[in-house]
Amino acid sequence: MCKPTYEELEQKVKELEKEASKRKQAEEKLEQHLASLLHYSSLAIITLNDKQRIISCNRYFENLFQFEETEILGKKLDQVIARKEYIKDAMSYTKKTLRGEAIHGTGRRYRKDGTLIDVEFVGVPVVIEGKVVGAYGIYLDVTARKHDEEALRESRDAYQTIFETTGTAMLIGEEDTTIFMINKEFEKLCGYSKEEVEGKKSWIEFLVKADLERLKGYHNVRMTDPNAGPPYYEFQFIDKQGNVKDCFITLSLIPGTKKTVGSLIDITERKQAEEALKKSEERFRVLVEESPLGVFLIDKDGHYRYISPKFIEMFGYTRGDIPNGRVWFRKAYPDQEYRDKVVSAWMSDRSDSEVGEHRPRIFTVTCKDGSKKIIQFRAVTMEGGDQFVICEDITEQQNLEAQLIQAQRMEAIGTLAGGIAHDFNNILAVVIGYSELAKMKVPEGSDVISDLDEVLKAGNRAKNLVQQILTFSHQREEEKKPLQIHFIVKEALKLLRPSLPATIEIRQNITSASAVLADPTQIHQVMMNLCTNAYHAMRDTGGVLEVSLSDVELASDFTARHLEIHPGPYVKLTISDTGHGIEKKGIDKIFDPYFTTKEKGEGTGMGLAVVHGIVKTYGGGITVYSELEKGTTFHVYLPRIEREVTAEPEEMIPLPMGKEQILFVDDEPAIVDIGKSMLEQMGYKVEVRTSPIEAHEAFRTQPDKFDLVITDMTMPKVTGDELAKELMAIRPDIPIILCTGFSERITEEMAKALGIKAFVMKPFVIHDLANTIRRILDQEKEK
Amino acid sequence: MALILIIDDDDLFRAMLRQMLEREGYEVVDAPDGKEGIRLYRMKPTDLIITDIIMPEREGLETIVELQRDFPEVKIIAMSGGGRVGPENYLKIAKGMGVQFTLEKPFQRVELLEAVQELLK
Repeated sequence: MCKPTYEELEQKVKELEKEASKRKQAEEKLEQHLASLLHYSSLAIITLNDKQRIISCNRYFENLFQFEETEILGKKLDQVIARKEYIKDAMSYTKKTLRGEAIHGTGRRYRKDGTLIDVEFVGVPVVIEGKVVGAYGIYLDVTARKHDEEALRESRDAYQTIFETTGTAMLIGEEDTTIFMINKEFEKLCGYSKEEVEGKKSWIEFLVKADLERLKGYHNVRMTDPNAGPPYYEFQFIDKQGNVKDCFITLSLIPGTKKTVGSLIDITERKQAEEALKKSEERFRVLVEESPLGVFLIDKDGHYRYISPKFIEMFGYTRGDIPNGRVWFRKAYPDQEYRDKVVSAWMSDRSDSEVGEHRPRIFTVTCKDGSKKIIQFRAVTMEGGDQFVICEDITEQQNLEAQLIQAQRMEAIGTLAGGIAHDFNNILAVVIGYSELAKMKVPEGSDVISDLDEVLKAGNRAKNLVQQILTFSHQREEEKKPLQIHFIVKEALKLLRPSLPATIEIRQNITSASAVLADPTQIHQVMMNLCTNAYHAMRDTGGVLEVSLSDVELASDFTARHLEIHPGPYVKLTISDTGHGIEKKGIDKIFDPYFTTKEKGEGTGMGLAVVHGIVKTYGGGITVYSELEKGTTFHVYLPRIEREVTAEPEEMIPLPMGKEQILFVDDEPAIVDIGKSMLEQMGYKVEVRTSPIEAHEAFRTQPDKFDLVITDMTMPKVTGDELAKELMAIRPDIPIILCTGFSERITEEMAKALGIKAFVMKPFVIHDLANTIRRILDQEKEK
Repeated sequence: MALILIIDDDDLFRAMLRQMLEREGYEVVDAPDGKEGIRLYRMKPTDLIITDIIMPEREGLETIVELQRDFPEVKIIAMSGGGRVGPENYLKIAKGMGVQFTLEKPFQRVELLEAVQELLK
């Protein structure tokens, strides 16, 4: 290679200089670009020299920290942005950088006005020819980001706290039903820990079978439309131990997700309490509605809040009839004076009674149909001033009480009367006896005789009275026999008819032929007494006397109202007149001895007392209905003997027959005729006598002719038992049957003591007679 | 003339009976109770006894039983004003026991005299 020439070299230098200049120009341009890039960067940049003095800053730095470049040039950072508590921190970073290290950090720096901003910063050393000549500080403002982060963290914490402390069990579920998150309450509810549930279990595992499809359905609907599906509902939850809990859940989707947030409340106890309350209410409702007591609840202003069905049934008033207390008072107590009394009692109870206090009151209430009931009201004042009122219908109870008092009074009168009867008879014996003696001692034609006759008449009246008192007090021994009382009733009417005036019509309606256990005399007495009363009631006006006899069955609803009667079959004798009637105030006393509506001298006042006494002895009852100017009706109930009724009709049973010779004795020709024809029907040969003396004669002449003697008890001169004695004296083995009538009473023992084989009651019942005769004759044959 | 024994605890009544019977010419002795009556009868038997039933010391039914046992031929009229069970009941018992006649107190004088006459025939 040849050595370059000077020119060549000079050329080369020029070229090199040119190139250097070009490059310098290029470098300068690049430097300018770089400077402007730094200057306009959105990072705050500052340049320090190796003495930590600021030599430049860019515009963003000026904006961020609010310093002018000119006022900070030559200053250290601790005089500008890293003041006070940040001096140390900044110095250490600066020193590190100036030692050649690049640093990175976060922290806070002051602005000119003293406010702090959050920054992220980078420190970069400026190295020229291997020597650190300065440093760049580059700051990024992260205040806003920091703030956002803080806010987010706070928000998250807040929601977390809410989630944990709502007091309800909460869960967040995924779209696929997996449980994403639960709170402590949910842990308690389900019995599993968070770890066991979150991300592992599906809420479906906590459902009872019955709810499964329903809740899945809700879920699916919600997944397609967040607003669809019920926002809350009840269902049954099964926990880890298998306990079933009633739960109420409120739920919604987290916006923008498919996550469901649910909040559950365990309502098992509330449900049980509700159930218990419902049951308790039902019990009370049944109690109130089924009890025989009427119940109503009335508020302070007199409005009815509740009226039980029994109340309506009791009085007939519906709620519409009695919208308030004022209307009730007007309807229930139509009588002004009585109403005032009731209202004032009510008001005073109301104003001064304490809560829970009872104030029983008895008032007579007029029902919707006009009937009256005796009601006991028990009002209880409740908290708040409402009144709870219980009404009991004590009408029947009061009536029964009245009847009981009546029965006791009658009993007492009876005992008293019976007690004095004996002494009274003895006294009468003396009075009557001495009067008779006195009559014999005064000269004939003397006025004294007629006076003494009056004494005797009075004495005899007194004697009859004592008999009646004894009947009334059940102290006459009576011989009760099965008796078809229609015979007696008809007979009594036959007796009465001729003595009644033509203005009184007798109607009879006898449909019963049943038997009762009774004494015929007494039944006769009942008929005569009741019919005589009826006659007296119609004597001036005329009218209709109606006598009915029928079979009735008395049910307990009837007998419950009548103290003395028991349910069962009865013969009912009704005697009614169309006469003047009995005043209401007198009707309770009509069965008392000596009560009479008749004029003085017309009656003793013993008639109904005697009737009552007789009926009561028979286990029967008597009721009376009377209306002034319309008439009076007595119903007599006598217990029916069923076995008599169930017996076959008489003609169906063949009569026991015989051909023996019978002597029949009775002083009454009519009876003799009947007896004869009856006996002949039975096939017997019959001889009759109407006097014991004739009978005695007939027997004495042919004692062996007769197989049996039937004799009446009561006959003039010689009684039946005396005749029997005489006949037995002639022929000791002669069987004798004694017939006893209304008034004679003889027991089996007495008859046997007399040697009499049997006795039969008059009037004759053909079957009884036939059976007795056959039995006696057969006994004799066996001997 | 016949002798009649009256047994009754009522002085007034006894005196009245005595008068009634003496008026008819009967001879009368009397006793206030059954015990005294029996004592008198044992001392001197009478033709007829008229006795009350309810009496102190010894009542009538008992008296009747004793008299009938010791004196089978005795003739007795029993009378009573009754007690708790009514007069006819005691009298029925007396009759069952075989007394010849019974009278319910109060009775008419003529009833008594008929009975007495009948029995003393």
